[in-house]
Amino acid sequence: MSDARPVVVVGSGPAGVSVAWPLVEAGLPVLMLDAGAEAGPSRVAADRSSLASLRTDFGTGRSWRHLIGPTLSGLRNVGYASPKLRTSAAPGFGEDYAVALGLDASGFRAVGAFSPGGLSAVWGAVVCAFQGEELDPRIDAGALDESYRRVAARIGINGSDDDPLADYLGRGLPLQPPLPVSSAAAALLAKKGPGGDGLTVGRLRTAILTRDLGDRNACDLGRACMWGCGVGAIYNSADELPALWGRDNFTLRWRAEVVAVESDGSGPVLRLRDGEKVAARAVILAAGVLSTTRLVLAARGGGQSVPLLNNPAVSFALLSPSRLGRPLAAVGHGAAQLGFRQIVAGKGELFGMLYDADTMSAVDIMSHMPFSRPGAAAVARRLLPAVMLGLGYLPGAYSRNRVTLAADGGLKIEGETSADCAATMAAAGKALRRSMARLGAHMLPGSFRPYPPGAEVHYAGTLARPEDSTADGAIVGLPGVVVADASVIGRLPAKTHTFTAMANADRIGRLWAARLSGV
Amino acid sequence: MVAGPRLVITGAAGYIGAALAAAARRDGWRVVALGRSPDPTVPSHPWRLGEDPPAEALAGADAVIHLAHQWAAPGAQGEDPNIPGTERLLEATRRHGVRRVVFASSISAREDALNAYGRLKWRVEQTLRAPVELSARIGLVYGGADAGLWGLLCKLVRLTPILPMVGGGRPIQPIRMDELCDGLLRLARMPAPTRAVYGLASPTTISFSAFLRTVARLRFHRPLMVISLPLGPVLAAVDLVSRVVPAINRERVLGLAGLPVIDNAADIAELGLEIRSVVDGLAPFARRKAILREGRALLRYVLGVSPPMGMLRHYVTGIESYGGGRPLDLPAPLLTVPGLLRLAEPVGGKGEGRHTLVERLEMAMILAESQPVGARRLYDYGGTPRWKSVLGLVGIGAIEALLLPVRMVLGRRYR
Ligand SMILES: Cc1cc2nc3c(=O)[nH]c(=O)nc-3n(C[C@H](O)[C@H](O)[C@H](O)COP(=O)(O)OP(=O)(O)OC[C@H]3O[C@@H](n4cnc5c(N)ncnc54)[C@H](O)[C@@H]3O)c2cc1C
Repeated sequence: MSDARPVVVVGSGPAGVSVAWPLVEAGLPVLMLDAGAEAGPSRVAADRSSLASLRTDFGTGRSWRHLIGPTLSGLRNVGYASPKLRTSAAPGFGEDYAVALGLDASGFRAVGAFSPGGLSAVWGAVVCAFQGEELDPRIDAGALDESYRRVAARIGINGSDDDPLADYLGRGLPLQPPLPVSSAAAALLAKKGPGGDGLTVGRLRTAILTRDLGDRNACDLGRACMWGCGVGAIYNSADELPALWGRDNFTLRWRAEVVAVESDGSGPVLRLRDGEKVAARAVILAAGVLSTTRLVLAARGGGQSVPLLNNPAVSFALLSPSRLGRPLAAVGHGAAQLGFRQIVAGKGELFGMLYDADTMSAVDIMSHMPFSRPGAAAVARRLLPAVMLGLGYLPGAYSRNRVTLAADGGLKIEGETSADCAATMAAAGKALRRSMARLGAHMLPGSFRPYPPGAEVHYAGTLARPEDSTADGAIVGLPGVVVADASVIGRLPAKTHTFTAMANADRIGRLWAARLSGV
Repeated sequence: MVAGPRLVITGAAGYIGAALAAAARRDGWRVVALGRSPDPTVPSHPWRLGEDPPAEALAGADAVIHLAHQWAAPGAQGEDPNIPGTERLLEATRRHGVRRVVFASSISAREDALNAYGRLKWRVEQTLRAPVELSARIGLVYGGADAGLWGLLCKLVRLTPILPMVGGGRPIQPIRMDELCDGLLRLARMPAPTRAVYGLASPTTISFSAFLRTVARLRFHRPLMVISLPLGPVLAAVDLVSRVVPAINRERVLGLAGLPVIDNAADIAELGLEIRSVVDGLAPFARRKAILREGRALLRYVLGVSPPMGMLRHYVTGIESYGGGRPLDLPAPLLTVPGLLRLAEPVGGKGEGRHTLVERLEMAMILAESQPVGARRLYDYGGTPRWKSVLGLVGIGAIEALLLPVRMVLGRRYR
C-alpha cells in the first residue's frame, strides 16, 4: 500500500522551491508549508515608469507611491541592513521574524522574513557557481553540475561565457544574453588593467531575464531594480509557485508556521503555530538557515552550539573623474553592472560587484557624507554620474559566528570574525584601491567600510558537519528529516551562494525523489 | 462577504454626523444617510426633518441615530419643527420595527433649562416613548473637524490672546469626537439598556476657561487668558448688540453659561466607554501639530523650498509609524529659520532607531527624493559642463569644511 502522507517542504524561498520541483516531477505528493501570508498586491505596479521619469517628471505625479510605497513603508529605518529592505520590501516584511524565532543576536545582523519567496523577494540576484576547492567536499560535484544547469534553465540567468570573469563564475551554463551594461561600466570594462595586480573585472551573472520566460517578462530597462521589479524579470521564487500549484500532486499552505519537528514513531510530525500537527512521509526543511537551524536544534534537544558561516562584507565607492558632469542614464538596468575579483597576495580574495550610484537612493549614499544635508545633496548631484558603488565579500572562512539554542527555545547568535579578518579586509581594500585606480576609478577616501557581520545575508554551514547531517542533507538522529537550504553547505567562497544553495537543493530533491518513490 | 448591520443616520452631513458615519463604517456597520450624505461613498435617501422618511431607507435598518436638528429661523413663532419632525420619524421607525433609535440630545436638556435649546431638546426627548428609543445627552464635543461649536471655539481661541467671557468658571463636561461616536454606536447595538437617557460626556468636570486654555495651549501652542465677566451686565450689553449683529444674541450666551452638570458616571460604566481628560484627549493634536511644524522646517531645509502639502502629510505619518511618534524638542529659531540647521546639524551619528535629528533628516531626505521637486535636486539627467561640476564640488567642499567645526559644537546636543 502506498503511503498517503505527503513529503512536506518547509519554506517557499529559493531553496524550498528548488527542492520541491524534483519531488513534484517524480509524482510524489508534496505539501509546502510557509509561515508567510499569501502574497498581497506587489509594492511595484506593473505600469511604473522608468526611474528617470519617476524622479524628474512632474507629469507622472505620485512618484512617491513607487519610491516609498503606497503605505509609506519605505520610510522605515532599516539601520545598516541592505537599503533594499527599505526601497522594495513589502510593508511589514521581516517584522515578525525576529520575535517568532526568539532571535537574540549580538554582533550579528540577523535578517529573515516570513514571506512568499523568502528573501528572494528583495535579493540582488547575483549568481555564481562554486568550483573545485570552493565547494564543500562532501557535495558530489558532478551531481551538483547537473543541478546548476537545471536551476539555471528554470530561473533564467543572463551572462556570457565570453568574458574575463567567465572562468571564475563557471562556464557551460544555459545563459540568456547578457544585460546591456551602463556607459560607466562599459568604460571600466574597456580599460584593461596592466594585469598582475590580481584584479579581474567582468560581467556578472544575474537571475534577471533578458528574454521572456513563462509568465515572467524580460527586463524593461527602466533602471528601478532597487525599488523592486515590475515585470518579473528579477527572479523571485514566489513567481514559480503558480507553476508548481498547477501540478495535481502539489499543495501549498500559507500562514503555516512550523514551530517544532517531532516524531510519532512512524515518521516525522510537524507542529504548527496554531497547534495543528502535520504527519509527513519525510520533512524537508528549507526555511532559511536561521529558521531551519532553530527547528533542528530544538528537535534534537540539549543546549547545542553550532557554527554559522557568513561572508564578511564591505562597501565602497569608486570615482571616475572623467565622468563628472555626464548626464545620468535614463535607460538601462539598475542591478549590479559588473563583477570583480581581487586576489590579495597570500590572503585569499575579495569578490564583489559594482553598481551605478544613481541606481540606488542617493539618501543612503549621503548618509555616509560628513556634510550638512543640503551640502551632501549638492555633492551627491555632482558625484553621482561619476561614482560606482561596490560591495565585496571575503570567503566565509573568515567568519566565526556561533548559534546556540537558548533554554527558552530562542536562537542566540554571536557574531564574530576570525583574528585575521580585519587585516585581510584592509589588505583587500588597499589592493583594490590600487588596481582600480589603474582603471581610472578612484576609491573615495573613507568609503571602504566593512558591514557588521550578517548584514550581507549570506548564511550557511550550521548543520554541515558530519555529526549533524549526511551529504544527502539527512539530519543525523532525526529520521525522515532532511535539510535542503544552505545550512548543509559547509564552505562559503567569496562568491554569493544562493545559486549554489538552489542547485544543492535540487540535487537533494532528486536524490530523495528517487529514494521516496522507490518505496 | 458578510454584510454588517445597517445603520441609518439623520444629519449625517453635519459635524458629528460625518465623523459618526466614518466611525460606524470602521466598526462594520453599513451606513445609510437619511437626508444629505457626508460624502459620495455613503448611500443616502432624500429627506428633510418633518417629512415622512422613504420606506426603502428604513426597511431592514437595525438602528437609527437621529442627529438632524432644524435651527429655528430667528424670530420664528409657533411650534418648533423639531418636535413634530422627530415624531414623524419615530412613527416610521416603529412601523418598520427598527430595533434601536438613538436621539442626539444635549447635556443642557431640561424642562427648565436657561436656554431655549436645552428646553427644546428636553421636549423632543419626551417624544421618545418605546423602550428601544434612547436619548444620548451629549456634552461639549471637541476634536474632529474644525466645525460645529468646536470649530467656533477654535476660531475664538485663535483670534485673541485675551478672551473675556461669561461663566468662565462654570464646570463643563467635554467629550472627544471619537469617544462620542464610540458611545453612540455602543448605544445603537446595546442589547438591553437599563435606562432611557444616557449622558455622553466626561463624568468629571473642567471649568470652561480651563478647557479653552488647554485647547489654546495644546492645539494652537499659544497662551490664553480668560477674563470672567458677570452675567447680568453682559446680557444687557448683548441685547443691545444683537439688534445690530444678530449672530450675537442672548441664546448663545446663555447656552454657554447655562450648562448644567449631570452625574453620568454610571451611564459611562454601563456602556464600557473610556473618556479621557481634555489634556490627554488633546495630546495627539498637540503632538501632530508639533510634528507638522518640525516636518515643515526639516523638509524646507532639505528641499530648499516649502514642501508640498502631501509631502508634509507623509512626514507626519512617517514619524507616527516609524519615527517614535513624538516631535523632537527643537528650539523655535530652528523651526522658524530652518536654514540655521546648516550650522546645527550634527556630524555623523546615523542612529539606529533612536529617533534623533539625524534620523529625521534622513527621513526628510527620503521624502524629498520621493517626488520630483526634491529628486530633481539630486539627480542630474541633463548633464552639466565638467568644469562647472568640478568647480561646484570644490566650492561646496570649502563651505562644508568651514561649517564642520561649527556643527561639531552646535550639533552635539542633537546627536
Ligand atoms: C537584500 C538582499 C540581497 C541579497 N542578494 C543576494 C544576491 O545577490 N545573491 C545571492 O546569492 N544571495 C543574495 N541574498 C541572499 C538570498 O536572498 C538568500 O540566500 C536566499 O533567499 C535564501 O533562500 P532560502 O530559501 O534558504 O531562505 P529564505 O529566502 O529565507 O526563505 C525561507 C522561507 O521559509 C519560510 N519559513 C521560515 N521559517 C518558517 C517556519 N518556521 N515555518 C514555515 N515557513 C517558514 C519563510 O516564510 C520563507 O518563505 C540577498 C539577501 C538580501 C536580504
